[in-house]
Amino acid sequence: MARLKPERRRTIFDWTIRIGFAIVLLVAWELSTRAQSRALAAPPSEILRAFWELTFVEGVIFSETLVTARAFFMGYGAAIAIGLGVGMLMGRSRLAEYVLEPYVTLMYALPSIALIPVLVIWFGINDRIRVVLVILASVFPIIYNTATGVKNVDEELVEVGRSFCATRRKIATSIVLPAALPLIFAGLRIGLSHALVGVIGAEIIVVITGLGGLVIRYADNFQMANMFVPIIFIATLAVLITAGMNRFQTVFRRWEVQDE
Amino acid sequence: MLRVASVDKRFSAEGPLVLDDLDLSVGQGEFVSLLGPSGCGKTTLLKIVAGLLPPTAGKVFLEGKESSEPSRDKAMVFQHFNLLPWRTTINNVAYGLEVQGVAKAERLEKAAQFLQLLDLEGYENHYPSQISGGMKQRVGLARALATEPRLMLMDEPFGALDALTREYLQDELAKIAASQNLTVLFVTHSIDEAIYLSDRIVVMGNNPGRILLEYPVPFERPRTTTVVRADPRFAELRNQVWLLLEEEKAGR
Ligand SMILES: Nc1ncnc2c1ncn2[C@@H]1O[C@H](COP(=O)(O)OP(=O)(O)OP(=O)(O)O)[C@@H](O)[C@H]1O
Ligand SMILES: [Mg+2]
Repeated sequence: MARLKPERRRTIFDWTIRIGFAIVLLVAWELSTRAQSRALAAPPSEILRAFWELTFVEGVIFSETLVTARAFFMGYGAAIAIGLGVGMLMGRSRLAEYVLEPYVTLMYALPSIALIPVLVIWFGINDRIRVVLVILASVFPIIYNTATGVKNVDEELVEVGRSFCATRRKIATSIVLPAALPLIFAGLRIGLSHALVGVIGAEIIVVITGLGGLVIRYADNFQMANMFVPIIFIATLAVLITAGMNRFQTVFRRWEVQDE
Repeated sequence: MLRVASVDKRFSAEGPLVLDDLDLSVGQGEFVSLLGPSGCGKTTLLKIVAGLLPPTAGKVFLEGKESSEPSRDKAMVFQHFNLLPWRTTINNVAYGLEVQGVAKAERLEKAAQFLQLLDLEGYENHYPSQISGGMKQRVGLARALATEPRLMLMDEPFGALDALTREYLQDELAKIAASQNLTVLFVTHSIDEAIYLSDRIVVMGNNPGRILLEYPVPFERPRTTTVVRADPRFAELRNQVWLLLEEEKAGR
């Protein structure tokens, strides 16, 4: 039998610790919440049962997930389109940058949920608020990072395109955009987490729909075990979308890998 | 074929004069080397000729017509290679052809051909971050050659190469230039290289950048490095140019 390499042994050791720690946590949670009022806390065993009920018996959770995902993708998609366009413009035009920069900096810094009251006044308590809030939450980091990436593109690379008589459009797509890609992706990732906060925030605070709506409805009814189920779905959705983004990014940035 | 007429260059209104009233002519099929101390404006001059930088005063003519923009007749080999890091070697070489609208199959075939010419077979699908400095330099060279320009502007294209590869590529370039009747404006720091390759050597001085002297090279082209080196006129010319450059250095 081949001896395990020290590194391999360490991995198994790590796994043991990791799973052991999770079990300790769950057991502690279970023991500490069992005796408490169900209006204040729920043990993992009951959350598991609630998960089964809501997901596979009642099935409400899937339709609400779709409601949340739809608003998220509409808003985030629009933010990407607007953000890339405005960011490219600001990166290439000194004037556009000079005029727009203060607003972008300000809105980037502003936590988007501060805008909820004013959106309610303008749009009413309305599903559209979520999409608008997602756009406002995520478009500014995308604009800011795209503009910075485009502005800092090595002028010598642009000269390569110019020396072959490339059109402005060809230079933008074949040189500026790929060169700015690392920062554009940074903007997309920051925008992504802002967008998730925006959609869930709007659902919990105003619209009471989707996964966020489920969380607040169960919490209002003191159904603690049920409340954790949409939270698990929100976390899963966020992890999946982030993983999708990372995957998308590695496809585009293969060239940064130093060796095969 | 190429005429640079009274070109001045400043990078800003109050900035120092980088090029001062520079005149230079290069005939059809002629190979001219620019030699000069670091910072004397060789790259600046090449970029002005390429149409990448506007001159502050003066004009550039290509075959009698003013040529202030990049054109398909001209191609530039950049001092810092300027490869596109997200493109593989072969796609970098094909870039110029792609921009000029050559169909995909055709441009890849042509790119492969030039990679082979520059001894880069087997590296087609490597990214610039995966190849050496000398290889990057050859990719930059292949990219410019692939578009088959009439005027080649080459900014220290062999600077990052080892002596052997350098000599091999000098001979290759001499062959290509002769067979395609290329007109070449070639920047180098090596007096030997300038003598091996060119019909004429233009020596530049510093502060402000200007032309000091021109030397015709008394060897027939095509020629090979070994033959040139053995000729006594080689050592003599080499010495003359060296003395001029030393004098220019000491004079400052
Ligand atoms: N974009 C720029 N802005 C301001 N000054 C510049 C710029 N590019 C070059 N210069 C200045 O112009 C002068 C000439 O530069 P250039 O790059 O043409 O020199 P060079 O002869 O190519 O030098 P080397 O042999 O080191 O490559 C230098 O003093 C440099 O500082
Ligand atoms: Mg230079």
